[in-house]
Amino acid sequence: MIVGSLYIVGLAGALIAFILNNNFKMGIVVGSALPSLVFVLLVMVFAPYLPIEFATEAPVIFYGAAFIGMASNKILSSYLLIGIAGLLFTFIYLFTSPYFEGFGGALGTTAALCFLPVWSISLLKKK
Amino acid sequence: MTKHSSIIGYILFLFLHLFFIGKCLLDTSDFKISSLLFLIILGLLIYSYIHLLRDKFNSKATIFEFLALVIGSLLTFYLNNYLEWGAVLASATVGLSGGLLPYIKPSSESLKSAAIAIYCGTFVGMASTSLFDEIHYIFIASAISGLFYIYTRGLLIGYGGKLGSVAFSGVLATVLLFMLR
Repeated sequence: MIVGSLYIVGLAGALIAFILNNNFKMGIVVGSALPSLVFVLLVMVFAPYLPIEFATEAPVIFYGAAFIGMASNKILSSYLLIGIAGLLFTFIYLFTSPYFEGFGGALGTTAALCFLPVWSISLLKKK
Repeated sequence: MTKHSSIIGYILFLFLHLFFIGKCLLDTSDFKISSLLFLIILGLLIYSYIHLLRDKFNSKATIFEFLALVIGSLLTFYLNNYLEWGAVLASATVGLSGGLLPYIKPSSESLKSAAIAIYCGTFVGMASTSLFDEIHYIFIASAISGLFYIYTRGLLIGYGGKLGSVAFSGVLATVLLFMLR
């Protein structure tokens, strides 16, 4: 149940940042930092009512998945593929977080490892 | 940036990404569905780089962006570890503050570039004191990331995860240089 909700958080983080960045023209920085900050503050406020695992992991997953949403729609325009990359982010994060705990840039690298394969799929589809 | 330089830049990015995914694959004790998924990701990653290596870009960063990145990193590291804000809250707050700079003067390209560099720096500053127990390590990691940022300024523009990969380069290089001796 909690793991399933973390996948939804990853999907939401990537899509919300992508839409704010490209559709609302907020730019890559505000488009990803603003929704992440709002999400983190909401989780902090409601933390006493949330499962500990969700309250700990969800903000990190949302923030990391938002880095996928920093992509330009000129490079990848499919919301479906951005959403898949967001789901993939949660999968890789849950797998790799013990290895790179406390490593700056690990979330962004994970985001790149989700975005580039999904972008490859879009290239293969065009062929 | 020449074709030759951009290839070196992409190879460095590829090394970082292979290191990350390789660490996950090698630490998996038995072959499971997750290992298969990582292998698929690895295959698609290599395919994407084959495509990327054909590109050439001409874009240069400035010392101003280097300094913005270092300041973003140090400020985030301070908020994250010394004021105990946590990595996400510290990075998002500093990043958003930097991201609002272009609104002061929307026509300024320097402020737009600084906002992105500060945001990249905040990712370096997400490192914890359990990794960088002495303050000079974060300076070194920021400086390496700043140099890598300048070198790869024109690469992977519009690709998600680029700034985080730049930040990871500095952190990983610092760990490999000073902490595994």
